[in-house]
Parts: sequence; structure tokens; C-alpha cells
Amino acid sequence: MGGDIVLWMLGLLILLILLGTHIGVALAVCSGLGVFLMLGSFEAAISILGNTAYEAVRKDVFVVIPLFVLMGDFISRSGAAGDLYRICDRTLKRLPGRLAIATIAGNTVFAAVTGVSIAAAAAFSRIAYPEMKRAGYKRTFALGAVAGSACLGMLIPPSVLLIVWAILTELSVGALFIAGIIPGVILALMFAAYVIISVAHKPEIAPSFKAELVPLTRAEIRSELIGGLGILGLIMLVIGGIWQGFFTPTEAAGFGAIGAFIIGLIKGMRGAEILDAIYQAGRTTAPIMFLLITAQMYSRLLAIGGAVPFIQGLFFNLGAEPWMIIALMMVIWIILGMLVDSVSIILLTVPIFAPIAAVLGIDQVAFAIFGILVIEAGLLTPPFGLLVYTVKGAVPDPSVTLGEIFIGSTPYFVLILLAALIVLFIPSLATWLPSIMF
Amino acid sequence: DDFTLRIGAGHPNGPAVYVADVADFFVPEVVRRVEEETDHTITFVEGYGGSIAGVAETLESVENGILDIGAYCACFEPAKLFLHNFPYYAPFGPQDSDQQITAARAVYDQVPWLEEQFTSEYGQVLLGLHGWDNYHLGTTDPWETVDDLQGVKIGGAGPNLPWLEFAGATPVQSTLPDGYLSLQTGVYNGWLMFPSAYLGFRFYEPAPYYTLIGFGAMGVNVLTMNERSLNNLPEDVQTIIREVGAAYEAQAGASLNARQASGLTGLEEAGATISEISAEVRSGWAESLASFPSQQAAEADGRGMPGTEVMQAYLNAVGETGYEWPYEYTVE
Amino acid sequence: MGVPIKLSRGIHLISAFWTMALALLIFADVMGRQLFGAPVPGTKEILQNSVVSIAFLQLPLAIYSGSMLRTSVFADAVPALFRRILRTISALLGIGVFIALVWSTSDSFIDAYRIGEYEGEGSLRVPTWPVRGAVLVMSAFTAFAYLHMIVLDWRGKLQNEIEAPGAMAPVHIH
Ligand code: NA
Ligand code: NA
Repeated sequence: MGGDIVLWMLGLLILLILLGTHIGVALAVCSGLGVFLMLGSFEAAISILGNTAYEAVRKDVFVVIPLFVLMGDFISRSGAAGDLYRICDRTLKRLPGRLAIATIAGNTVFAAVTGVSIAAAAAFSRIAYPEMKRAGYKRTFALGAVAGSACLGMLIPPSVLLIVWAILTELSVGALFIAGIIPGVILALMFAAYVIISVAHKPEIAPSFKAELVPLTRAEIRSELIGGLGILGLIMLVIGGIWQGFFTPTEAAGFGAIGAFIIGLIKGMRGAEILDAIYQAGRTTAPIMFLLITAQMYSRLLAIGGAVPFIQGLFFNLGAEPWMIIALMMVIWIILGMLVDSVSIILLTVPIFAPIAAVLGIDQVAFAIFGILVIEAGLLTPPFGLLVYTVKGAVPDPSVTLGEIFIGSTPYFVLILLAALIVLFIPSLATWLPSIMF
Repeated sequence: DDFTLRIGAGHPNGPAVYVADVADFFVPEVVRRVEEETDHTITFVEGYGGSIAGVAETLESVENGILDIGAYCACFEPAKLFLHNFPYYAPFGPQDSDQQITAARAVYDQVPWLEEQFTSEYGQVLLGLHGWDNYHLGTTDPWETVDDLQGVKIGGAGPNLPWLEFAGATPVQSTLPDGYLSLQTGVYNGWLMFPSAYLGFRFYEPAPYYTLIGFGAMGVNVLTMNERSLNNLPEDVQTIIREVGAAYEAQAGASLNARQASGLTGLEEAGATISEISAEVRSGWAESLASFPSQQAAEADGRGMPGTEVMQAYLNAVGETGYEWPYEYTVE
Repeated sequence: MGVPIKLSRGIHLISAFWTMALALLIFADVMGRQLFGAPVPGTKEILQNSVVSIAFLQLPLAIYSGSMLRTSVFADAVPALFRRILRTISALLGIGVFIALVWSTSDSFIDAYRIGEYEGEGSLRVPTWPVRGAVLVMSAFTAFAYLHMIVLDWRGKLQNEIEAPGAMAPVHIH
């Protein structure tokens, strides 16, 4: 009975989204209606909306989203991001697609700061995309680099997802953190290789800056160095601060925003520009937060509708072929990834999947990294891919369409799944570092 | 007929004993007994770890019928269930969880107001009590006397924070999932936590010094059922649910004690440094909290709850279990 | 620019500065903790309650400025009148959702106020009614913004079919 309603609501959700209803509204409507149909209680239906609206993002880790968006705005509007990317472009002259690679590298480093990939996507939409656009990069290519590489944040410590996973499976948080490092670096290298190969193949998708006709003046060089070094200094401060135990990743977001504000001041941002940066950053935040809230409403509908026993049933009916079980897990994760947020997916599925994987003889640490990768890949899939919507919401260019972002991130989706399978088949990529450190 | 019941808790099944006992004892036992003893069957939809309602939302979700049955700690409803947190208000009570649950039950039996509040104000029926096993303190650095804790930032959740304030430590309100990173990065340097969760949440990695203080086990968790959902079930099924609820409570103490023991063994095996404070330090700490029970009782009285009556009943009930307080609290 | 749109811009500006203030609070908290062993009490409570409030304070302008996330795959392919009807249906659903939020939040707001509901303990007790109240009031305003958008839409006032006049205009300080 619950299962039917969940499926009907899924159909309605997709219909509403295709008809252009605000995604958050569509999620809330389906959640409320689904709960009403299941429980027959109007009171229960609206109170699940009200409770979730109040509780879903009322945790201090969610502060990273507005703060990193603000940081991204300061860095990008002050021209500092442009400085860094121009320096990259000149120094890495021979590397095809170097701005996209700089974006991936930047995201890898940023990943070591934040544990929320949505924050990374929001920040880099405002830092990296305008620079690639200015350099004449093909839009889908540039957007894909931003959305795709944002997944790295969940793999490289610290990561909210790894913490939740560790708690549910009683694994060591420290060991899981360290387990994510090598697969994270491998994935970043795979992304970079994809960029180099596709640009070598089609140079027109990523033209480099035209050489300056007039050599830069000393003042220009100085200004460019201030911007470039400022960002590097900011990143060092934030990462160093976390790794030295000076502050938490959440607090790092606060330092990042203030540091970016200071860089902006040095680069000459003044009253009206500062005001505008703060104002515009705010405009990005609400739609993303509203999506997070309503995604959680929908995940609660799934839980109430018995999605968990439904999934368990699928596995019981499936015989014992290990590859089929793994494939089914991947399918379920990707489908859920299209609909709800990553933390909810872990809450719903990991208590079922982790014991099954253990029975299949899969190392629990490697399985965690595998699972995180597949779930993150789901964030790039239509119709709802939360990361793609985040990029759409944050990119300072209203003409960008969701379709372009989905198309651009498809290669990254494939690469993430590939990396997940690599970890599954070579578990030592995940288990080796923790085994020597613990 | 087949009846579907939605049951949930804000903590995940695993590290939290009261949830593990719901998933591994209450649910299968109800299913089995209803199947064997009646013409009906029960199917549970289980939502732990906050997948239906978080720790602070469970009471309300049971009240408005989103959940039929919920397990939660009164500590996350500090306002609504202020008085149900009474074991926290007289710490250093029974170290043994069985003794603690017995004492808590005696208070519920003696002051029916406690149980009636669930029904009259929140539309739910108390099926059984559960709790937390004996609380101790884990820190990132070793310490000797209570003076060493002056100004040290210690994380905790809920009504146990005043224990720290009285000792001169700086309490930091936090949640278990935040604990690991916060200990690692020095947001605070200790956590007030029973060994099972200290082990389950891996706090010994950043904070390996675990000091046995013995704040006591706390019978503050409840398993409740929406009143209408219960009344809509056939009589015989209702009876079974109530009986299994009582059995859930009856096995809680032993279950918590087992977790306390395995938690300590596990911490030791994991390489944590376990030490114990002396009897003098313990009684000194308890004495520093001398005014706390009366203060909380007075606050409850002021809110129209039978505060003094409950605190007095609790002190008496603990006495009747044969437990000797390190410091004899009194409530005036 | 209508009064409600001006109001939504004003509220938005407050929330945007609030975000900046949170960055400063975090800075003070960490510095206090690291340098003087004295964190700013209640920082965690302020942060978590702020993040909900900020999200809701920014919703009306997100509606007026057409920033709410949606896909236009299907809408791009149909005639203008049909698109307008779809927008109206979408906004009606928005009204429904936010009225439901007003309804359920007003109960919990009144309860929270009546029983003096708080979270935390000891010196860190934080009342819950202010945030519940913010969610309540802003949900009501958001429902109104959706309604207002329908009116503006049928009177042909929307720019690019999604944006209320003046919602996106740059901010000036005088
Ligand atoms: Na990370
Ligand atoms: Na998704």
C-alpha cells in the first residue's frame, strides 16, 4: 500500500518537474500529498512539512553553504579569481584545457576544506565559471568541470557523508577519512586526463588567453600577484587551520569568507561593490537551502512509505549472484541520488547494504568509498541532480540552462562510476593508507 | 487482518542501545507474538537514525501520528519533558543500569502524573522505559583532580551540562555526530559519555583518555505509542504491545549493563587509556552539586509540575535499591 | 517597484548582512577559544538557528527574482499562453505549500511560546519560538509573493516571464 503511493508520488514529482514547477515546491507537494494518502491524516501531512522545514537545515554545518557562496562572490568579484586563473593560463602554457584543470585542482584543494559538495559547487560556479567563459571555453565543457569536480569534496576529508557512514556502520571515522584520500586523488587525475584528452582532440572547446600585445605594467603584475597569492594564502590558511586543529570545517567557512573579504578590500572593492557581493550571494543561498529542506521531506516520505523493506525485498528476491546485487545497489543509489540529498540516501540504504556487502566478502572500508562515489554520481543525474541545480542556482549567468550542465557533467558521471568500480575491484586503494596508519 | 505500524527513533540502530533493543527485541517480539497468539499479523515500517523523525522531533511525530511508535530520550525535550529527566538532576546515582531503571520505574509508579502527561498533553501512551548506561568522561588530555578541569571545554548534550558547570569546566552544547571532528579540532577537549557510544562514535581516536567517574546510569528514554493508533488495534494485539513494551523495559537494564561492559572492554582493546577517579574526588564532585536537585525540583514546581515530589520519590527509590550515594542529596 | 518587492529586498539585505555577521561571530569564537580559552558562548546555537532563519528570510526575493530552481525543458516548447498557465499552476502549488507551512508552523510556534520551549541546558538555553516565528512569518510572506507573482504575470508585468519588476535591480547606498 505504501509502496504504491511512493511510486505514484514519484510519477507526479517527475511530471511536476517537467512542467516547470519549482523543484522544491514539487518535492514538498509530493511529500505532503503522499503522507496524506498513506496516513489519511491532514494533520500528519502538514506537520511533516512544518517539522522538516524547521529541523532539516537547523544544524551548524549548513552554515558553510551561505558562507562559501559569499567567499566565492568576494573572490570572483574582486578580480582575484581572474588573477589566479590568468597566472595558471600563462604558467601552464602547454597544457590543454588548463583552466578546467585549474578548476579541478582547485576543487580538489577546496575538497580538503569543506565536507559539503554543494558548497563547493556553489563557490566554484562563482569563481571558476566566469573565468572560463571569459576565456571562450565551450559552455557545457566549463559547466561540467565545475559540477563534476564538486563531488571530490565528499571523498577527501573532512566529509559529512563519511562521518554519517562511519556512525551507521560503526567504522572508524579517522580510518574512513584516510581511506578516501587515494581514491579522491585518483578521481581528480581521471578528471584531468579527461580534460586533456578531450581538448587535445577538439582544441576549440578550450582556447587559451591571447598573448598580451602590450606587456603587463609593474602595477598590473603586482595587482595580479596580490590576487593570485591572496587566494593561495587563503587556501593555505583554511586547510592548514583545519589540519592543525585550529578550527572545524564549518568554522573554516567563516574564516574563508572573512579572508576573501580582506582580499577584496586589498584588490580595491569598495562600498557599493561589497554591498552588491553580499546581496547577490544571499540570492543564491535560499533556493539551494529550500531544495535541501524539501529533499529531506521527500526522503521522509520514502521512509514512511516503507522504501526500506521494499528495497530489502528486492534483494531477497534476487538470488545470490554477487554482481547482480552490487549492480542493484548502484541502480538504487543512482535513482535515489536523482531525488533526495546524500545524507538521507545514506540513512535509508546503508543499514541494509553494508551487511549485505559484508556477507559478499567486500571490505567495509572499500565499500564505504564505493558507496559514497556512486551516491555522488547520482547528484549529477537528471531530473533532479542536486549538484546540477546548485550550479544552475549559483552561476552568475542566467542564460545557462540545466540541460547544458547535465550534458557537460555526463563524462564526469561516467568517470565517477568508473572510479567506484575501480575501488570495488582494487579495495587496497581504499584500505592501504588506513592499514598503515591505524 | 494485517496492521502496519510505523516505528522510529532519531538515533541509528547500533550505537544507541535503546534503538538496538527496539529493532532487535521489541519489533521481532511483537511480530512473533501477534502472529502466534492472535488471528492478526503486524508489519513494521522502521525508520531509525532520524529517517522519519529526528531526536527532537520524535515526541511530536508520535503525537500527530506520523509515527505510531517512537523511542526517544526525554533529554531532547528539555521543555516538554522537563521533569522526566529527573535522574540527571541527582547524578552519581545507581551505576548499575538495572538498579537505575528499577528506581525510575518506582518513581513513575509512585507519581502517576509522569505517565499521564504523555497521554493528556501529547496524545501518546508510555509503553516502556529505557535509558543510558553509566556516564563517564573522555578527554583529549589526561587529568588528575577536578581542579585540572577548570575552564576545560567539554562537550555534552542536554541536561548533563550543569554537572560540568558545577565543576568549573566550560560546557559546550553539541551532538554526537559532531563530536568526533570537534574533539579532533579542539572545539572542545572532552565528552561526557557512556562507554558504548564513546566506542561506537570512535571518540577514543581523538580523545583517548577515558576516566571512570560514575555519574550513573540514566533511565530517561521512553518508548511511546500514539493513543489513537493503539486504540484502533484489536484488544488482544493491544495487550501484546503493552506486554512487549513492559518486557522491553524489563530487559533494558541487563542490555545496558552488557553494553557498558563490552564498551569498556572495547575501549581498552582499541587502545584508550582507562582510569578511575578516587572515592574522595567522586564524593567531592557530588557534593559540589548538592543544591542541584532542589534547584531543579523548584524550577519544575514553578512550572506547575510535581517537581519536589518526583525528586523526593527518586531519592527514596534509589535508597530502596540498596545503592549508597557518594553524597546524600536532600530536597527541601 | 511595488511595496512587497521593496520589502522583500529589505528583508533580504538584512539576511545577507546577517550571513556576514555570522562569519565575524565564527572568527571571534575561534580566536577567543584559541587565544584566550574563552569561546563565545552559544555560538553553535546562534549558527544553527540563523541558518534556518536566513534561508526563510531570503525566500520571498528568490520568488520575485525568479531564482527558485526549475527546469524549462517542456515550457520552452509550448506557446506563451500555455506557459503562463503552467506558471500559474506552479505558483498555486507554491501557495499551497507555504500555506501548509503557515498552518503547521503556527501550531508549533504557539506551543513553543506557551510552554516556553527551549533547547540546550544550563547557561545555554535557547528559546525556540523566535526561529519558529521567523519560519511562520516568512512562509506567509512567501505564499503572498507567489500570489503577487500570479497577478503580475497576468497583467503582463513580468520581465523574461520570471522576474518581478525591480527585484533584481542593483542595490545603492545613499
Ligand atoms: Na572534504
Ligand atoms: Na540528486
